[in-house]
Amino acid sequence: MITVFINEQPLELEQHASLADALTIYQNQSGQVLSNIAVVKEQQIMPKSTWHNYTCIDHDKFQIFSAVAGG
Amino acid sequence: MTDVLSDQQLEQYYRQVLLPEVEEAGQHALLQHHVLIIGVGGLGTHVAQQLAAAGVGHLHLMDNDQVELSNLPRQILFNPTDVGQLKVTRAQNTLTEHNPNANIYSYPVRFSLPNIGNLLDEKDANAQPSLKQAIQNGRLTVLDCSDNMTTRQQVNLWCVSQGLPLICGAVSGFDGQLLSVTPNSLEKSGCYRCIFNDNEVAQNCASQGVLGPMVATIASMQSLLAIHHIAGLTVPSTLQLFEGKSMQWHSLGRKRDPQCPACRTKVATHKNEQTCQPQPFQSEAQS
Repeated sequence: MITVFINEQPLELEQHASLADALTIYQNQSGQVLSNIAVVKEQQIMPKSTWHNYTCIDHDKFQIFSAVAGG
Repeated sequence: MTDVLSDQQLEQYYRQVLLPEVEEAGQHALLQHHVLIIGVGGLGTHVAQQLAAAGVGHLHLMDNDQVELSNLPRQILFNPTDVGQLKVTRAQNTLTEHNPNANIYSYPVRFSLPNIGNLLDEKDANAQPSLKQAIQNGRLTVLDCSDNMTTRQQVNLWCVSQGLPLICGAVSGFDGQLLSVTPNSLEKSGCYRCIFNDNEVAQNCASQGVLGPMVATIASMQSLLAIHHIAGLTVPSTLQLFEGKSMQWHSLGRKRDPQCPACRTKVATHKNEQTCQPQPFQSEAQS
């Protein structure tokens, strides 16, 4: 097992879990609906098309935030 | 065309011209430039006021809403007697009164690909030649000040397809977001949809509430980015997040999403042609 952090919350994952897997588990555990979110790692936004291909590494730290649309 | 300002212009904009990054050439560029402001609400009223005051010569205001009483705490171009009237009409009147030399155009329509297409179609009764000419001359910058995700995605799609610079501002509650999408940075940094690619409802002021100073903060940054772009200063390609509770800004790097349905075709075309000529827009269904 590995531990990653999403918005500073620890998340236990199987080895070789993808970022998409991590987000699904985070959503299930937190009860948050993750729609229109961006994922940030080391101050860089990770394009959504890379979420399935990115293999999480132990102690990875991700930040997620939602789009706001108000004007 | 000469970059020399008239004596009156030089006096009026002296403190801007004094900046070595602006000078007379930059001020002249502002006076010649067109800005399309999509959404004349909290963000839109602030950026319109700031850009008109800064000397942007042509402001195009697009919004189909009417002024409501609940708008007044943050939509600074309106007063209680404006309630029930079209926002673009009232904003045009106020801006013209304060900036008689600015050319203010108003379009009381909601932004959509068909509606903007009609404004640019010479055969359409509502066609706006100045807007089309500004696009052809490379003198149009678009500011997305809208209040919903569907419009934001369509504005992004249109700007990408037309090769137009786009400056997006958004605010809800104590959260603000800001980014620019320019033709020159598209291949590397991508577009709005490379970050947020759902059409789903996102947080907005109606659902989350908002404070006037939050709107003013993001709008001021949008205006500053617009002036950067028009005057030829460097425009950062990062996404800026502002947390109004902690008063903190975060600057995040962006990369183009190679699978982005909004910009991948444009980037591929650009790579093939090594040019960035305006092209007809594609509808969402075609993307």
